[in-house]
Amino acid sequence: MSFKQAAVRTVQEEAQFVSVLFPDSESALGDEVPEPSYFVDLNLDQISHSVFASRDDYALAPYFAQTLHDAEAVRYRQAVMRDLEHDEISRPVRDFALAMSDCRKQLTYARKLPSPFQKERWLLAAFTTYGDAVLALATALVEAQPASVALQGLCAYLARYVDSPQFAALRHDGEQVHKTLDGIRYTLEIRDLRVSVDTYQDQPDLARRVEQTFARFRQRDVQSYRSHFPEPVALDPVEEQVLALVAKVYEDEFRELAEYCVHYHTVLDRTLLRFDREVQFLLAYREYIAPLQAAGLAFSYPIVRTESKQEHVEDAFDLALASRLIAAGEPVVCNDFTFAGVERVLVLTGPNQGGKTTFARMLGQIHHLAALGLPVPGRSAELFLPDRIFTHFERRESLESLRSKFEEEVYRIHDILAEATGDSLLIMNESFSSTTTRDALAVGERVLHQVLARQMLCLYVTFIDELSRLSENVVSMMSMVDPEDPTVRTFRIVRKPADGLAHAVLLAKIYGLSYDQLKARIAA
Amino acid sequence: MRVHLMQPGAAFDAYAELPPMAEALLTDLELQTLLDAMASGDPIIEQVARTALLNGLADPALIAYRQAALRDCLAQPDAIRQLYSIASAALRDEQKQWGLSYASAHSILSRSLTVIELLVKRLRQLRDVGEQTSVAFYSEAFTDLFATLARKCSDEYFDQVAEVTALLQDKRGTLAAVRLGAGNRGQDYVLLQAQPQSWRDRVTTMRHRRHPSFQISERDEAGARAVAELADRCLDPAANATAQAAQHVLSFMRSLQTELAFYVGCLNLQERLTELGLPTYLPRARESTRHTLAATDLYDVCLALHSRSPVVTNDVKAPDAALVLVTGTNRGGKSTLLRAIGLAQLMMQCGMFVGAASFTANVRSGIFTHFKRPEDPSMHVGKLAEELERMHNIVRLIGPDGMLLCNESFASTNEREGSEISRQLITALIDSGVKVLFVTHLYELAHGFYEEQRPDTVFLLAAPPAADGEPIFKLAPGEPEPTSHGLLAYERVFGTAA
Repeated sequence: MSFKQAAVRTVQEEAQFVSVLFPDSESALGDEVPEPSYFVDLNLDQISHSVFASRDDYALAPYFAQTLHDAEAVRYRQAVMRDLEHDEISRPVRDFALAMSDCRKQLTYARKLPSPFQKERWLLAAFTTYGDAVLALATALVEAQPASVALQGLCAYLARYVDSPQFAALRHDGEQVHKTLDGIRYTLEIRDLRVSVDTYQDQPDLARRVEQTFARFRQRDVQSYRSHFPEPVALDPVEEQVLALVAKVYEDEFRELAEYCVHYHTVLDRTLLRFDREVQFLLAYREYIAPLQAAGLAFSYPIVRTESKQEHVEDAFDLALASRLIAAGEPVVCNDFTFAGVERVLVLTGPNQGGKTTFARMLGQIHHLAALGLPVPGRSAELFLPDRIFTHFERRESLESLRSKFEEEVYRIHDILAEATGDSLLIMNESFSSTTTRDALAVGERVLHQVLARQMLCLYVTFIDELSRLSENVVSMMSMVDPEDPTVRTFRIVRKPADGLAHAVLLAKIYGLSYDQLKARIAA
Repeated sequence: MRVHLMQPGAAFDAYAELPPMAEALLTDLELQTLLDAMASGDPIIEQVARTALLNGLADPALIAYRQAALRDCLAQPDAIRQLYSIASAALRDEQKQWGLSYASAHSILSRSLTVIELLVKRLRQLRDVGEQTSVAFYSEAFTDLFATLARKCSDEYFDQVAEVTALLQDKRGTLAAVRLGAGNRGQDYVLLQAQPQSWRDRVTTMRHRRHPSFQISERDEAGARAVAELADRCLDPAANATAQAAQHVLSFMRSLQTELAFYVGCLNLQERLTELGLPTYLPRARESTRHTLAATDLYDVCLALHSRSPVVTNDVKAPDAALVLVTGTNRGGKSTLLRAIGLAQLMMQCGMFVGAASFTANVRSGIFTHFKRPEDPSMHVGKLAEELERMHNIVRLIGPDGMLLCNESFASTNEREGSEISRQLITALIDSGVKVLFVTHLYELAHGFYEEQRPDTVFLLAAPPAADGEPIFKLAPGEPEPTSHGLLAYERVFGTAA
């Protein structure tokens, strides 16, 4: 048989579409994307690990680390993500991924198996899988009419690709070879240790004959006595020899297969392979947040800006914590935050274990996720797109360091402020707590003055109330306890002037230790 | 080949679900005694008898079908026992052959061939018993069975079986058709029957084409193992078909065993009752539409089996009675009579003989018992509440064609309340078509019905003990009395005259 000429890969002349993650051909994933320094502090490392846990093969973690700094690029991805919320779009994309994963597996078999007749059959399978997958994706996507620029571009690309004569030839030739091979029915004769192969000549089926002879006794279905033979991909040496004999008996049929393989060996399209990998990044995140959404937690596409530092987020939550809590069937507490007008710094005080660190992580995560073009944990979000995110969390004391913990923290903030710009976001958690309150207040004031001077956005979690009253640019927030029973923490964080010991007084009352109670008890 | 000895056109399911009232019936009528006597140690008979007894037939024609078969069995007990033992032996043969959990296709095939060989012998025996005795059988059930055996287990058929098994045993080699599957791995192995080649064919084949082949060296152990596995793949579908064929023959044997088990159980019971000198009777079951109940020398079969001695029998005449109200002296045989009637009704409706010299009754859609029970040890509910709950459950299930046997129901409250509850219950039931047999000490209740003089009510009175204090256990129609002669018992015990 003769194959139609030239199964060339990409139809390059009109190719506008390059990627679902990057709007233009210049931007792409960097060669090496290190995890940002704030990943561990914000538990983003945990999130990244869980999101991609079932997709090791795609090596997607770098995509989760590389933030976008262009609001347009963020919107490009958000639009794809919105499209993927529609089942009629995400299902074919998922099916395509499954098929492509099969295709890769089949190519691996073709590469690794020693028998040429096995290799060729797996190549045929791989190219068939690929052709079916591309055609199914193209048909379903064109039908679904995606709204995003990216997927519209992909649709157009796919439409051209599947309409090309080369693609038609790939499918047609593959089907022919399949039909040829499926038509083979050989006989195998085993006598002692001699095995011979011949063509099948309509000899009667013995099992059928047994069934017919005993049909009269049949009362109902009985169990199966079929053995379960292992079906490894690789044939054993005897099976390989049998296959070689079959290839000899059916010489023409196997020649057809060999020619097909030579002809199509470079058929897979680069752009489609890139799409297959990149879209997994978005699908993985969708799958990760699905159970949280099912449990009633809201996610939203943030409005991102680079020109304004106004922010407003409703019902936000720590993504890493929430996925643990939902898995354990426990409730998740959501909180709001706002930077309005001249507000640049949130100072968060309140009782320990009241959810302050969680709030700090939540705020940082939301900015990071927004800069990846992903929906963020919260009912609604308007966000500034920072150029960098910095975290200043307590570190465990290191014996190797000659510095004290306090010193180490001061060095660290110094380095951060040296790198940060007015467009950076800074999150400080219990900074400078390993010194006297007076020192901590003094250092904190100085740091905040620098932050305010640059107009940076900042969250400062601290036990020092005075910091919350530093200037009109500073907003005070507090973690709350149940007013009825101060031993119950609500994990609610609200805008509220810092009130120092009010909580401690309530708690003391529960134990009969308030001033009046103590007086009365002692008097008694 | 279907065996329909229990019911025309349908196989008997020995493990059919039992109706919800089964548990109460087993307890209240002490059915286990009856089942043990029928089983005589054979668990299959016990299972079949239990299912048959508790899932009784409500159609007189179906009852007659079984009774006809039973009449044949009672006339030819040896043939029936022989058939049953052949079927049972066949099932035992098979069990001896299995045991290993894993087996290769090759060993499954050779084991199945052995089993089939044994089963064919048993089939021949069955057919031969049929040929020798079929003239003495008149029932549809058995004439059909013997005709089927004669037709389907002919010598020609056994020749066909021998031919097929010989092909499977062919030691000369294995020939299979194969297709190419994923990765060109062989699949859809089908064992073929090698075509016998004429001498001339063989010569032409040799001249024109030699099949490509290879040979594994005798020293190549791994190669030899691989060839053996390949041969197993070839044998597998035929091994499966052969093993399943054996299972089909076995399932025929199993259904034959099941369907015969009931009749063997009846034979066992008949022998026991005959030893005790007690009569049995195959009653004619009447349509359910008109109430009727009549018996002579009726006795409680379970009590007889239990006491291993002749028991007192009673005559009952209750034509057109929707309600039979039984009153009278303590230890006067009231409960025993109630059980005897209940048992006879159950046995009749499963096609058995009953414990009586004669018996007739109309069929009922379900038989229910409401007997007094010991106090609930868990103290969850009071005794009256427990009784009411139980009655509530019965009423949920009983239909207008049902039958209810009550033994001292609602005695756990005072006479007035118990009587009123019972009165309302009984009246509602019999007005709806239910047949009620009610044993009671509640005089107010019994007296009330007596006064009412309903034509559909019969009153039976247990006679007081004889002058020497010995109970006589005889019941006769009679007006309810305000005393159950409890005082007599008191006097007997205390030895004083009041």
